Amino acid sequence: MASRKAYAYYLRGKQLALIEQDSVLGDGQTLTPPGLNDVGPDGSQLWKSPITAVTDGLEIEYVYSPRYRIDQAATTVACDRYTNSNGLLKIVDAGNGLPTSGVTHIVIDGSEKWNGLHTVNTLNAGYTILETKYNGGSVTEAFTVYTDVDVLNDESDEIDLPEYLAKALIYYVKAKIAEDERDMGAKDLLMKEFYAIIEKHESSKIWGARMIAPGPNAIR
Amino acid sequence: MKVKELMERIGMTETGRAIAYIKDGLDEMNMQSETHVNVERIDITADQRYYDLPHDVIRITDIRCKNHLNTKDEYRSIPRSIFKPPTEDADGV
Repeated sequence: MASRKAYAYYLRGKQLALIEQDSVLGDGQTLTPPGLNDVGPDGSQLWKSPITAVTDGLEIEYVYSPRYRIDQAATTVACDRYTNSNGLLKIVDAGNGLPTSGVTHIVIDGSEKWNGLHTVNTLNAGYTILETKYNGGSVTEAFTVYTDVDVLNDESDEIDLPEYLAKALIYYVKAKIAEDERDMGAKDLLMKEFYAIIEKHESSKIWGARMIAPGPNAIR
Repeated sequence: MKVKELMERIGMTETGRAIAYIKDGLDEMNMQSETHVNVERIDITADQRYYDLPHDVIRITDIRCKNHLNTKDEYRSIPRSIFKPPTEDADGV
């Protein structure tokens, strides 16, 4: 049976700091007492970097911007390593599955660091150099590369949004044009409409009355 | 809606400028709302405190850990610590 753990996190720049409480409860029946160096007046010394390695132990749910669409989700290449090439990110596939022509953008998925859209610099047999900056060393990591990607860069591209939210986008672009023309009054008004549509779109998905329930320890 | 249709509704003719503003708008929209959500799993390494956030992250909606307050291999949301722990990370990376 897996051990019960207690984690917490905080943010440091572009990184997430994961900490674990160093008091092992085993299967929930036994408590291993902490060492003398770990005991502080408030127990804060018990929080430290993760104590054990856990495969796929950390799960991050996040929102990303739909600047691209994956056309053929089945058109993927399994890569096994990334490294740097003159300061640019170089992804490597030992099986030579990466395309050698006709691809300008790729989407990486399943990487611990590089998920998302990347612009291609050079295509080669077995490796691809991207425009993404990277000056670290070689890292062995399995990740998936989608090569059939439609990027938002053309008039004929479909914006990947619900129709109602696309109306909000019209207000946003109008607001930016008003800002460029130094018409700040119009810009504020248009941004207000932009946020109003987003709020209405959010509210429309919630049925019934909205109530805030008192907490379990609230005075009644 | 296509980019062309949006440009016609506004009366724009510069495609590059329109697409740049559309991209800004999509970012701003996702700061407020959620149109596209992804979940990424990362290996936890012993004694490694800092982990890079995904390249395309706009806003974090939840952080979960395996076996957090359970022994059933379930992923549960972990709390955000207001204070940093006094014990510094050994590798400091």
